[in-house]
Amino acid sequence: MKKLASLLLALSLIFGLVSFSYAEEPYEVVIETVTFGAEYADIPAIEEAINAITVPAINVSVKILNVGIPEHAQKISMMIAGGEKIDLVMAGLTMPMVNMAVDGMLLPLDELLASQGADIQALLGDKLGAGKVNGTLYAIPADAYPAQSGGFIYNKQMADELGITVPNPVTVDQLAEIFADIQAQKPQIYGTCFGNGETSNVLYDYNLENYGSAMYAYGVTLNQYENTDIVNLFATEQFREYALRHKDWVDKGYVPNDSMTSGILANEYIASGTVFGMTTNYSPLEAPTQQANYTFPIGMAEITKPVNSTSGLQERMWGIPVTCENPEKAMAFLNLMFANADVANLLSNGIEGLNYQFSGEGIVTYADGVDPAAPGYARIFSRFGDQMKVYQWEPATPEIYEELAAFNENAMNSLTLGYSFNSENVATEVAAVTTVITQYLPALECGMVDDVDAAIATLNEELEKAGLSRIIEENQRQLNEWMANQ
Amino acid sequence: MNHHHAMTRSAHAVLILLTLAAIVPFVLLIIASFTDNNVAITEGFSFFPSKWSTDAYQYIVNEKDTMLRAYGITIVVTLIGTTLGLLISVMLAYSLANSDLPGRNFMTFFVTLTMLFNGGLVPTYLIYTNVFHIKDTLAALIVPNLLMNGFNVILIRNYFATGVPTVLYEAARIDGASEFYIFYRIALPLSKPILATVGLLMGIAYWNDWQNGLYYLNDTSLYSIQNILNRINENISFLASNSTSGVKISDLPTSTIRMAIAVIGILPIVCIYPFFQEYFVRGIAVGAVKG
Repeated sequence: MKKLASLLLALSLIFGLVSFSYAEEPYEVVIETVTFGAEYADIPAIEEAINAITVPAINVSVKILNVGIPEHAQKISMMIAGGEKIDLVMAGLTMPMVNMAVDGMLLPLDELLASQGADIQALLGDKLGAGKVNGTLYAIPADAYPAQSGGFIYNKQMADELGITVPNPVTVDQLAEIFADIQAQKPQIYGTCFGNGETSNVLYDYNLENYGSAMYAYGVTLNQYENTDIVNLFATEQFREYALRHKDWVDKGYVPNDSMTSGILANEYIASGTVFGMTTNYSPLEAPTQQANYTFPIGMAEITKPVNSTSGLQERMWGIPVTCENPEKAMAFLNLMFANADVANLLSNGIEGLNYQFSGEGIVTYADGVDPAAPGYARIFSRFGDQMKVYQWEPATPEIYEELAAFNENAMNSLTLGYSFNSENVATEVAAVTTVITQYLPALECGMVDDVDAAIATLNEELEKAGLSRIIEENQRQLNEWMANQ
Repeated sequence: MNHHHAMTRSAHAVLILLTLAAIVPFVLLIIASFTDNNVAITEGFSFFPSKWSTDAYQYIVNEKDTMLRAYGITIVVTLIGTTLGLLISVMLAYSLANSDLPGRNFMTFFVTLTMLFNGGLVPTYLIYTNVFHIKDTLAALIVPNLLMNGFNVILIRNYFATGVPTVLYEAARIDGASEFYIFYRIALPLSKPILATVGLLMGIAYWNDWQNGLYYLNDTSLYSIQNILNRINENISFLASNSTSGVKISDLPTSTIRMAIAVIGILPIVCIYPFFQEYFVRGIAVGAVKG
């Protein structure tokens, strides 16, 4: 009788457990999409469509949080500090992943990845190294095809009218000849534009690794595919050449000379037909995306060699904030997003028929009745899932997938791929150095100095005072240590 | 006599110059919003653009759902915020002006302290979101800043203490008027200039506020007109100072559209201001000089 009773008790427990696990509510994963902050009316419908896949598969429902890029850093920091519900954040875009990890905003992911992330591991492999800080994984690269090179984007229609051919690949000297040609034929049109100089374009002209500091405050490694020496960019011959060249172009009138202060973006100049072209990132995905910004056909040419680098991978990464209540489920969803083409496409492009329709194999365009100026959903800055499985938008052609794969296969790996610099120990110096660079670089960038050599000398003096050499020393020390452990 | 005329004339000249310095940028703003965008890029903004265009306003008309809603939210928030804020400030200030109030010095100090120190952004954010749960509600645009500020309260208190003769209060008390009756029938009617002044200050503050929306709203359908303008400007300045690849930016409003939205944003304040100006001068002068 006692045995029977205990058996019954045990059985009821087991059934209880089973029925409990069946009745378990799906865990809601809040994932952010970083945009310009416009409203997207179709987000609820997209969430529902994703839930139809994710609830049966991993018992996760999803909520899309739309965050505008200018307020992204502050908003996410405050949400995490305030313990608000957010499960997957895009690190790197507005806050360096290393800083987020060091500041304790992100959970370590090694164990979660081992238990929930088989597809992520298969897809990303070595590239996962870029998400490590001091040997611990804190973020997952959002883009498995991050190879980039520097390139030149130009007004193809104008080139054809003027009988100009831009070779691909192109050198900066060839560009100078083209600008001279344009000036001879159409004096009112400028060859290129440097914007307000706050975005330095050095890395479009030379292969270099900046270790994630867009202002080059961590030192750089030139030709990072064959070199691991970290140096001060502003003391290199390449930077001098670059600054002299920009000054020369300004003096010759190839560049609108008020772009530094006019508040007009470089692409606005190009779109208005006043400027021929500008240097930019180059990858097979870039041309179709950029084409959407212009009413005339554009062309692109490569300047530097394509490279896989840590800073490229760290531009967009997925992290799980420390406030996440169920990190296993967040990782399981991330894994499913990389494995499942439907989930990735729903997050990237919306719903077929509602937001997009097919116009070629794997190529999509707006669905009928969608106003391109105010679509019901759009992915802007985030990347969701495996880009090989995500439908690309017109004017991309079905060949784009092969091109993307080939471009990434041919890209050289940076020797520092997987190494990331932790600037914690030199935080004061970094702040001081960044201030100095922000003060001097735009004028050099835009060729708005009288004496380039004198300006560079002053900049380097100030940088020395601000402690750039200590940063470079620390960076080199960490890099050497990392290499020794490889 | 002649000397006097010369003084007046030179004073007028200076004032005219100052007035021009204030007005000319607005004129340029309005002209810029009617400039053709390509002309604006090629020739820069000027008072005499070579080509005029209403494209910028066409964009706003196309986006009228968003714009009208944002406008409505701004108006509602300004009205509610100013009314409530004024009411609270006046009642507090009236009490502080009453010398019989127990603990008056401490409370005055408490109000003054908030003019110098505040809790900082993150603690404030935590309190409002975790304790009061105002995130993504209309209250998020009204309640932060506590519906008032110490400076305004002190301004009104000084007016009550010095601008309204105390004998009036005493006379009313002798006649057996209650404190509320005195406040409502004597103090308030006599303090119209300061109410108009502080009301205008508060109204402008609510009208121009975008920070509350930025911090406490994820739901952009509650955005006010200033939030929308701020978002557009911030997007542009983000793109100008960050090299972000793979981004379609063609939907971002052009520079002339930004000018047009700015015009729409300031227009109501510009229209209302002249009506308040008379009170404004009297209120500040009396409140501050005798304070």
